[in-house]
Amino acid sequence: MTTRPADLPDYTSPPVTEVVLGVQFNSLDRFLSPHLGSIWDAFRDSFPLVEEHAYFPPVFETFGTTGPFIIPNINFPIIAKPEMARVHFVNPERTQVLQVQRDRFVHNWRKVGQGASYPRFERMIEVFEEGLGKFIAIINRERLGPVIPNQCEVSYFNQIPIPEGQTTWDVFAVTFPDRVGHAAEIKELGAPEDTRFMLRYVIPAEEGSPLGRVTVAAQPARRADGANIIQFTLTARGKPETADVPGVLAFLSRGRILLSRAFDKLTSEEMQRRWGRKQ
Amino acid sequence: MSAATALAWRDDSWQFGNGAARFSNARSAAFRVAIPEVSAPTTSSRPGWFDQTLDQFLELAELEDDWDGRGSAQVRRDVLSFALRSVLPEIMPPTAPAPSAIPLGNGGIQLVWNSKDAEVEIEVAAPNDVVASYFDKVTGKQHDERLTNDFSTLADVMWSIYKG
Repeated sequence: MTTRPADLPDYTSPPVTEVVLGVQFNSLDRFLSPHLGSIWDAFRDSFPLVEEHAYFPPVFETFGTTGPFIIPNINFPIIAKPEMARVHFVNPERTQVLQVQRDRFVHNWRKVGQGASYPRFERMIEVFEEGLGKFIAIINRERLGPVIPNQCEVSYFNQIPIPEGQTTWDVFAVTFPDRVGHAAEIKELGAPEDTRFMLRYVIPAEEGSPLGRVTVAAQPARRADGANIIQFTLTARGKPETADVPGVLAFLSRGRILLSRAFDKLTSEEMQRRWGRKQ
Repeated sequence: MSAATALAWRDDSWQFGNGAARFSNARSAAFRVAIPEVSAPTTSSRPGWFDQTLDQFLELAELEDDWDGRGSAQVRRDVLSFALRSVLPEIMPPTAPAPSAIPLGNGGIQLVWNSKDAEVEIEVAAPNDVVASYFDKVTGKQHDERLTNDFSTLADVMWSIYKG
């Protein structure tokens, strides 16, 4: 059983609304739509609802020149075959999702309504590991593999509401004081109306070569219910040090620690107090 | 740009490298507050080699198993995607010519640049599985390197050849 590192900050009511753990692997080109039925059979007791979504092309964190080109998100269909969908298996409460496509296995927890509370990373990674094990067993049984992981991702989505009477800039300033400050005020214009930022950090491998990136982004947004918020997203994505399940789990665990450190470093003590920081 | 290339632009959401691309659906990804664009920028960061490379890649994507009559595998889509979106942007100067893209029998591809002074070849067998070869025609020296996700040395070579 995974245990929470003792030195990680913890909160009684963190602003997190969704957490995603995922692995991408070399495309299983023999994995066809009928095989999704075998996969669902293994999960339908806990995830009885099913949804179809569009396929996502593979993504990779790679390194070379600084400031690489902007590249469009292009998919390469095999012309002779229709592209397989991405399928979501959803639990009855709609708080947990398993996403499966030809090259990906992803587990989401998401907050639905006000009641659902974050089950914590340690529980999520257990569900992810168990699900990934079942998925790989089916792929091996059907001789569709091997599953060779090439990227992992852990993401935290946080929503910070903009209270009535405050501007987006006000909340940015109190939440991210080191990123947003009075220096941006212009005499004739006052403070900016709002802002957005993205920070990228390189995750080093043990021997020092780059493994992946932590990407942190904050931007004004609107919730589905119309409320104005700041969407604060933290993602750790990269290549597992070993292309197997232990390598994937190690990357996700390390990524979670890095994201926790980033959250702790980039948000203010004032906001952390409001979120119920315990230590 | 060919018709096939134009078709591929149906999802033309431009991304900063690969870092902002989507890995998974997230229900709580909120609606972005748009920044209205009154005057579109007239400069473009789209590199000159891109369209010609994409045309070749889309042709490779149409090959089926046994495309050469010798039992070769069809070109893997994850190889094409990895090469176009994750390797080339990291190594290519904007003025570099498009490579010649050649299918390999194992589902991989080979990319070749041939200049007056040097020849560069990259074989992408799978994501994170790349072999780069550089031949200096002036000195006669050859350098081979196996790469996964860090293409810095290959980028140095390409920029030294094509930065002009």
